[in-house]
Amino acid sequence: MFSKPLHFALLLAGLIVVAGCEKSPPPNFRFNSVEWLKQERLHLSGDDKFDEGYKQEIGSILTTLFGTPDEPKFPYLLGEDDPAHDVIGLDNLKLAAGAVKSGIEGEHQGLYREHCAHCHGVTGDGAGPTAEVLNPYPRDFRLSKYKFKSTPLRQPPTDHDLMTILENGIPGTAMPSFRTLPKEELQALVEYVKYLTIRGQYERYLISEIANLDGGSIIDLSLKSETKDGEKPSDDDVEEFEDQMYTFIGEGLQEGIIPRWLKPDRKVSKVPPAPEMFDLAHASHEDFVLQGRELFFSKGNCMQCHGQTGAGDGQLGNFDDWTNDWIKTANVDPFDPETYADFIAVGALPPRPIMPRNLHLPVYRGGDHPDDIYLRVANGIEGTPMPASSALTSDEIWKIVAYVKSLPFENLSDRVELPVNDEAISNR
Amino acid sequence: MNSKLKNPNDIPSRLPHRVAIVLAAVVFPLIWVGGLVTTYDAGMAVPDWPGTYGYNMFLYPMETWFFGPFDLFVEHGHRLLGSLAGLVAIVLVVATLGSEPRRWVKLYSVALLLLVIAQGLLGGLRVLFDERTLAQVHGCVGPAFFASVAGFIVVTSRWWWRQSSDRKSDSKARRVRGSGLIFLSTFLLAASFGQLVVGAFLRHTTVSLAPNVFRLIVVLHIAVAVLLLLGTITQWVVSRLPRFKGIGIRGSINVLMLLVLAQVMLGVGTWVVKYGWPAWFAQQSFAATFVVGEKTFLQGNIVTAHVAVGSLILAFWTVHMLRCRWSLGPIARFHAGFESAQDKHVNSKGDASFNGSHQNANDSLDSNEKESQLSPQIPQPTPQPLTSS
Repeated sequence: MFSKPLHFALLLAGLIVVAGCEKSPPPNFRFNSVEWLKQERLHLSGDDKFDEGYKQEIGSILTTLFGTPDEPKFPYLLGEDDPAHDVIGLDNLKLAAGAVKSGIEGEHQGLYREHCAHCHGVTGDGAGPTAEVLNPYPRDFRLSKYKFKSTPLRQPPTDHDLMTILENGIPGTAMPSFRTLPKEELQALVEYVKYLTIRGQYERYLISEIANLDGGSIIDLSLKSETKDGEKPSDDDVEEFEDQMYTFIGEGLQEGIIPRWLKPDRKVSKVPPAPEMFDLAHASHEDFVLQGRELFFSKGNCMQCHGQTGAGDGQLGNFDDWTNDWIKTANVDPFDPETYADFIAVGALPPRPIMPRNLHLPVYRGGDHPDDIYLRVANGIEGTPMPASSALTSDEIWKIVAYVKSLPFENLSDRVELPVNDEAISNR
Repeated sequence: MNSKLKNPNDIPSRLPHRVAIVLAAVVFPLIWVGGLVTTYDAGMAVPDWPGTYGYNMFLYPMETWFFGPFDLFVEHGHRLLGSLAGLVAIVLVVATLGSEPRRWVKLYSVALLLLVIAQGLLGGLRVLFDERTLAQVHGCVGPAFFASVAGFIVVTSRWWWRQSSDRKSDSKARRVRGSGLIFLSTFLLAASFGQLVVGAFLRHTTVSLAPNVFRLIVVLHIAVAVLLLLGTITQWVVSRLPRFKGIGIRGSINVLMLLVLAQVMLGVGTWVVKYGWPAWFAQQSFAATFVVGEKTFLQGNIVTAHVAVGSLILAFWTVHMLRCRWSLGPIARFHAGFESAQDKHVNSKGDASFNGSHQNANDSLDSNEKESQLSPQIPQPTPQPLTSS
């Protein structure tokens, strides 16, 4: 009675084995189609499109300079003396890239794909398989914006900043703590993240330059090649080729993007020592906190987003820069899905308004040490509506930090609303 | 030969049943360790197969295995346990062919052996090809094999034989009908396997998968989980009706009810330890302060427990479905085979084998009582004088 099912099961098992032997191709870097569409909307009218051939050309340039997810490269254009070696080491890239493996000594390879790619994507575009089910979305590295860092706005983070995030994770989000990983592996991941950032930045740069080309190639390799008859390229062609190389690789990458990552430690913001009154045991601490509270409502203008109670219920409906990048430029309405359906079709994640932090929760995603909170207030949070507080003195920032640290312990029913000082805000 | 077998002592041999229990006892930890292999991404910790770093798998140095890297420990351990399962499956075939009178049960044991061999090959090919699709299939065939072993345990059990005799002797008018329970248990068995396949897709997601596809799979996994929970509750409630008392289906559904509830909690736990609390809880302190710990002991074991309990649920649905079918389904189809098997068995051993002494009958009653303590839903057979004509 079981002979038929048995035959069926054997046939099925055979089919599975045969079908399974078809090895799937290795993952590739995903082209930034969102940027492409954005640039088309910016520079072309109606249904006009960029020449699709540029996609292939950009892909070839990127592969030549940065390799593939399995075989990464880095454009050390100055050879052994290239200062970019201080930013990214090829050995670390190779440790982090490729398929997941571990050796007899316990050494791991394919670290990025093992730990990061499921959320951040193979390309670092923040659109890995899990992206849509996570809130907040995983970070898209290609904009080169990092929220929690010790450097000012528009400056890349230090290795230490990235390492701190990897070690501590980000509370309240899907970003895990990788404390169980050895330091060397974390360092390899830090460098791979920088590699994906630089690659992504450069890809955006190349796409943005297409509008400036008059139908020619970005870098026309044929200019430097011998003809079929063996004739050497003319001097004009070589000069044209070198111009193209200088424009797109020299200016764009070597002098534009990479130097920003050199020695970011020099740009680290110094956190001045906290005043004595910041100490909880200090006799005037309560007064210090009250002054911070006043600044919160007046000169600091913090209540605009964080709300009158500090519960994050102020101005809503803002978006982070990763979303603003395409919704603002393309003039789409983030609250009307029909206006951005084509962006979703090419891989953009549906826009979600960013929520100001509820300061009554005893958790600060960028770290709960007073120095961390000081940096968030002083430098702002890159990529979010949280601004840098250029108008506040360090003493005033410490007062706000003291107040923020006191908020989780504040009894909301006892609080007295402070009037908003419009004059101070407008002077800011 | 017109035998009237009503005593459990008439079961030809308990050996296949016992070996199958040993096999299940090997396969469950095998599935757990297999789950750990995936959880810790240790599938490629040993790059060769069937050897281990050039050694014959069984001769790989113990000290390197035990005190080497964790990935190597679980992957090599998984292979050794898999080999052990294969060996026990061979013993099962030998025991079944030597003592089991039913032809289809003999074929069943051979099918189990073939399945465990196929599963071993799948595991090996997954390593040699470094292929996630094969890992997905490997992750689905393992639980299917475990469920098949559970089914084998049921059809070779004392309960199965005794129920056959009871069914034969009972008048049709007295028999309890339960086609709804049969249908639902079969449907839920299929659904739980489907759920396992969906889960395997989630576990073995390729990094190139589009985010909207992953979201759909997650939604499907949650929808099927709700369906399974509601179905199990329905099955449990219906089985509490007085007419289903004492027919041997309450024990398995009680276990299933507990397992499914545990599985729902483990599913929530898996999400939390992998991705943190959902955004609905963002304003709660416990969620806002929670930090996901990558590859921690907590994460590794909750996720793996979710996988292992999924297999356990599949196995218990197999047990429950077979019990429902055997207790409540139409007699004719199975019974014809049963009669024929009994006759063959009696013919081969002679009448004496069914004319056990009263001492034997008492022994079997004692063991029956023991079994009934473990599974109180199994009806107590009335000791009767053994007869043969």
